[in-house]
Amino acid sequence: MSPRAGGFVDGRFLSGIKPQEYFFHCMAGREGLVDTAVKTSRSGYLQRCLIKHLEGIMVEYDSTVRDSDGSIVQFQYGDDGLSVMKTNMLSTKQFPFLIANQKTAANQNEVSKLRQSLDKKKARRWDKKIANYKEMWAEFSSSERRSAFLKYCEDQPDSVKSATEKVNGKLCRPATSNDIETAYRGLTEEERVSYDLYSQKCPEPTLSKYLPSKYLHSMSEKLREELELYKLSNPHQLLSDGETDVPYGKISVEQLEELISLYSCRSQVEPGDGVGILAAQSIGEPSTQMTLNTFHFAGRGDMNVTLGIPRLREILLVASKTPKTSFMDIPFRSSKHARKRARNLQLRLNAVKLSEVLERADISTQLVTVGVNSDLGTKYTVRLQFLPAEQYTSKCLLTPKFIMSYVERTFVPAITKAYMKLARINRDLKIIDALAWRREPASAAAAKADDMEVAEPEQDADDMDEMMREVGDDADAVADKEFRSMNEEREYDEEDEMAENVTSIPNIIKYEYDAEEELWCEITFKYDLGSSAIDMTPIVQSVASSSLVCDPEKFVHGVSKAILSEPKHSEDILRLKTVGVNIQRMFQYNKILDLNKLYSNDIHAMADNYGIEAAYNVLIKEIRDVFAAYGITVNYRHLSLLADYMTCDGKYKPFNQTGLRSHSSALQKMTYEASTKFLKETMMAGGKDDLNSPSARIVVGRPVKVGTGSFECVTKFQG
Amino acid sequence: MQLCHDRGYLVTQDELDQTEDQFKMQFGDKPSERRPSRSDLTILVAHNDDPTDQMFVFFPEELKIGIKTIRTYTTRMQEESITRAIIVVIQGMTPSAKQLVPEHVLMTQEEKKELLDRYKLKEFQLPKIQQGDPVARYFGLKRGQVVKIIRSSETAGRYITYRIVV
Repeated sequence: MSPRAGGFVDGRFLSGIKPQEYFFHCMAGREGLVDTAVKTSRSGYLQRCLIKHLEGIMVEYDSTVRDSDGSIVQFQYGDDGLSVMKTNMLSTKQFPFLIANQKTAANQNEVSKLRQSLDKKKARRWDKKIANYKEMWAEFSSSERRSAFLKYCEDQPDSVKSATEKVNGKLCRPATSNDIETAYRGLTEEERVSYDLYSQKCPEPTLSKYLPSKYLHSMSEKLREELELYKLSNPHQLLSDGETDVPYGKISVEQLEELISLYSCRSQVEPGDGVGILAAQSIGEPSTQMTLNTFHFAGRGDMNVTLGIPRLREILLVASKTPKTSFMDIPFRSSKHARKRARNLQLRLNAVKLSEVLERADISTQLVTVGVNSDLGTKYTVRLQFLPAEQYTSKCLLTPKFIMSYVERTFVPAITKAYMKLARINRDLKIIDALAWRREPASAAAAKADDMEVAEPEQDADDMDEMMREVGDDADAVADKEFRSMNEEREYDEEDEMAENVTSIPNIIKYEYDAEEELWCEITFKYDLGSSAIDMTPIVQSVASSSLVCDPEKFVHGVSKAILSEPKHSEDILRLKTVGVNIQRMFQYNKILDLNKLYSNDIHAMADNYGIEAAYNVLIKEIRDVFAAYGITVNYRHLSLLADYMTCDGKYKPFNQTGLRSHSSALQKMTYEASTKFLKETMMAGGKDDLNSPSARIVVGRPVKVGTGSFECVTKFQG
Repeated sequence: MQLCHDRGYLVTQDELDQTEDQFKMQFGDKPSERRPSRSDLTILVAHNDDPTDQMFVFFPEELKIGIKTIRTYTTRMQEESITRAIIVVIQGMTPSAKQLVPEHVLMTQEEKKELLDRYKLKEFQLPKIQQGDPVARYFGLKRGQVVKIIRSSETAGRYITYRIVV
C-alpha cells in the first residue's frame, strides 16, 4: 500500500496533480467546508449557553467577583485580582523591559499621588510576617500534623509516654493520654503561650488581608516570591548595590520594589469589568477553532479519550453523570509488595473471552433415525479443546479448572439458550407459514420459498393476534424453564456434581471431560427432529466470542479495562490506568495504590468521593486539557472563573437549563431557553426580578450595570 | 485519630502515629475472637478550646447499624452529657490527605461575622458547600457554618476562599 492509495496527495499545483489526487483533494476540501458549516452551530450554541449564565458576573469595587444578585463567585478575580491583559509584564522574564522603561511604567507623578492616598507599610509588614512564619516552619512538611498539645506530649519524659497500660475503664485509650491531657489543662498561661506557638497557622496571604486598591505593596504571594528571588539572584545584572548614584540603565533594589508593586497595583482588574462575559468569550472563541476531528484517538496506550467539542459539551453543558470515556489514573505505592501485586490487579481488570483460551472446537451433527421414539432427534457433539495453561498465564489469571467450571456453569446454558432462541424463530416462521397455507395455498407456497424474514403481509389481524399470543405463551414457558434449570444448577458447588449437573440441563444427554489435565470437554446435545435443522457451528462461535471467562465488570463494577503505564524516567512511578470509574472500590486496594494521588476525569465521581474542591481542580484541568489537545492555551483566570461558577452551589452545576434554574433573575432565565417554562415557574413561586441582570435591564430598556454602567452620579440636592 | 486531631480535639502524638501493626500489638489482631471486639474500641476525646466539648468515637459491631444501636449510644452520650459522636462503620473510608483537596478550616462565629461584614454579605451570597460533601462530613460540619478554604493557586500562590455549609 503506497500512501497514494490511501488518498495522500503528493503532487503540487505547480507541476500538476494526478486525476486521482484531484479527486481526493476535492473530497478533503469539501469535508472541511461541511465540517465548518456543521461545527459553527455547535460552538455557537456552547458560547451562547456560557454567556447566558455568566453575563452578569463582574468585578465589584471591593475586588470580589459577583453575579448580578450580589452572590460571590470569587473573592479575588483569577485568584490574584490581576487583569488578564496586563499580566504579561509581571513575570521575571519581563523585568528587564520594565526596568528599561521605568519612567513610563512608574510615572513619578502617579507614584507620588498613590503614595499620598494609599497605605504604604501594612502590606510590607504582613509580607514579612509570612516570610518569618515560612522560615520558622520550613522543616515541617505541610502534611505533618502539629498543635500545642502535640508539642506538649512530645516534651513529656519518655517514661510517661512508654507506660502504655491497657485500657482505661470502659474507654479504649491508654490511661497515659488522659493523664497528659489533664496535665495540659493545668498549665499556666505563660507555659501555655510557648506551646500555642505550635498551633499557629500560617498568616493569611497579604492579598486577601490588604486589598491592593487600598494598600500599596500588596501583591500576590507568587509575585512576591518571584520578586524576592530576582532581588537575590539578580539574573540580568540590572540591580545596583548602592542606594544613591545608580548608573544609567540600572536600578536600585528599593526602586525595583517600588516599580513592581506600582505596576502590579496598576494591573489590577478594574471594578465593573465584565469578567463573566470575558471568560465565556475566551472559551467560546477557541472552541470555534476546534473543527475537523471532533474525536481524537490520542495515543494513550490503548485508551480512547473524548476530545474537542463533544468533550467540552460533556463537561460544560451536560455535566454528564456518565462521561463517554471516563478513566482513572492511580499511581502505585512504591513498596515492593505493591509492585508485585500490580500486575495481578491489572490482569484481573481485563476481560478474557472464552474464544481466547480455546484452541479449537469440533462440532459434529448426527441424525438419529432408528430406535425408540424418545431416542429420535438431532445429536450435536461439541468438543472444546482448550489451550494449554502456559499459553495464557502471562496474559490472564485463569486456571484450566476455572475455565472448565465456567464452561459448565455459564457457557453450556448459554448455548442451549441461543439454540432455543434460534429454534423458536424458525418455528415461529413455520407457524406463519402454516397459517398462510391454510388461507391461500398458492401464495403461501411462494412465500415458503422465500427466506421468510418478512411475515406474510396480507395476514389477517385476527390471525396475527392469535399467533402472537401462542408464540408469547410458548416463549414464556421456555424462559421459565431455563431460568429454573439455571437456578438449580447454581446450588451445586462441587466440581463433580457440576459435571453431573450439566447433563441435567434439558437437551443434554452426555457430558465428558478431561478429568486429569482439564484441557478438553465434550458436550452432546440432542434436539427433537421436529425443529428444522440448525447449524450448531455459528452458535458456538458467537457464544464463545461473546462470553467472558474473566469479566472485570463483575469484579469492579464500572471498570472494563486497565493498563499499566510503565515508568519512562527513573523518577516516574508505575501507574494504573483504567477504563471506567469506580473510586469506592479502589479504596480496598489502599495498600498497593496511592489513592491520595488518584485522578479521574469523571467530575461527578470526584465530587462525590473527594468533595467539591477536588471537583473544582479536576474541572480546570479537564477544560484546559481539551484545549491543549489543539495547541490552544486559555488563560487560567477564565478557567478558574468558570470552575468557580460551576461549583459555587456546592454541586457541579452545568451551563444548561437545570443549572440556570437556581439563578435569581427571572428575565435572564426567560431570555435563555424555554421562556414559558421559566415564566410559569416564576409565577407559581411568586418570584420577582430586581432588574439587576444585564438581560433583565435590556428587556426593560435600561442601561446594563456592567462596565461604565456600574456606577451612577448623584447630584447634590439643593433645596 | 487523625480525623479527631483535624477537628481540633486533643490527641497525643503517639496516638496519631500509631500504625496498623502497633494497633494490632496493643489490641490483638483477631477480631473474629473478639480480641479486640469493636465495642472495646470506643474513644472519648476532648476539644482543644473547650474541655467540656467532648466527642465519642463508637465502633458498632454490626455491618448495618440499627436504631437500637444508635439509641444505646445516645443514652450513653446523655449520661455523660456529650454532644458529638462519630460512628465508625465497617465499610470503606475515604482517604483524608487527598492531593486535589485543599485545606479546609472551620471558622468561628466571630470570624464568620467579620467576613460577612467585611464584604457586606448576606449568608446566601457566599459560595456553598453541601452538608453531605465528603470534606464537610470529615469535619462534621453543620448547616450555617463557614469554612475557609486555602487553595494553592497557580497565579497567586495561596488563595483563600470561603464556603458556607448548606
